[in-house]
Amino acid sequence: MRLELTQRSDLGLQALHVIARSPQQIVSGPEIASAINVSAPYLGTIMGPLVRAGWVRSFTGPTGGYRLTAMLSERSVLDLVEAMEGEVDRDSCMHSDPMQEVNEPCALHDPWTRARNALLDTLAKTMLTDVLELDETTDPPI
Amino acid sequence: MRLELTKKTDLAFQALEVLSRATDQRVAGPALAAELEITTQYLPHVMAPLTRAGWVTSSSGPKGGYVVTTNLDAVSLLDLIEAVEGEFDDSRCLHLGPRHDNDHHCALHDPWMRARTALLDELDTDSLADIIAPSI
Repeated sequence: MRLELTQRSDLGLQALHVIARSPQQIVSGPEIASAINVSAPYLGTIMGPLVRAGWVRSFTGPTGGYRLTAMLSERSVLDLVEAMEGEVDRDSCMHSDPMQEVNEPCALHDPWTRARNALLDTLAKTMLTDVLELDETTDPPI
Repeated sequence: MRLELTKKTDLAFQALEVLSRATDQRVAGPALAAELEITTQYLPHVMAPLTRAGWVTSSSGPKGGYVVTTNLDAVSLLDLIEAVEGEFDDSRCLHLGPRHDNDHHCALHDPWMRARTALLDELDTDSLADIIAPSI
């Protein structure tokens, strides 16, 4: 069974780290792309979810780039994973069968839900500033 | 993010539930398939991981069928999921592309591993016998 994150979550985190560490408020796309070792076009697919989630704001033009707009000390690993990979479906326990119209709760619903919650709780308790070993001074002035 | 079991694991669990209530008696394939509301053609696919794991034996012939041959107190939900869906891959945290360098740990490695361990520990806590509700 696969239980893994995709690389998108990690790249999203690395991009946030680059912006948070930079002395400039706005960091250009090429600068971030080169720091996290991805191509400029691919960077767009990494930054897109972060912009949509309101974590960074993008500015176009020659002096444009990305600015951090979220407090990383208030965002958890779970927030990041959900922003990058989509929300965790907390209700269904099974990969639903398209042939079946009615999805009865499966016999394993309760134990599986408990196990999934154990994973999600752990991710929700870990703040990004802990993972990145940043202190709160890297939060943007809001 | 998808964190779901497949229907096959649920069916395998239900099959063990039916067999464990049959107390030492063989349950014929067609009867078992009817209980699970699946076809007799699909039943062998559901049962194969259970016989491979040595939890169930099957026999053919007019009096043939399936019987549980293990104590379900000793089988955890984690064991069942791994038998049906394959083992949890424990060495990697990310689905990584070809550029991946094995010595490089992503920043999310440690929190993800802690979270994963929490899930696996929870799945290993209860035995299938605990989960199978009393039939009364």
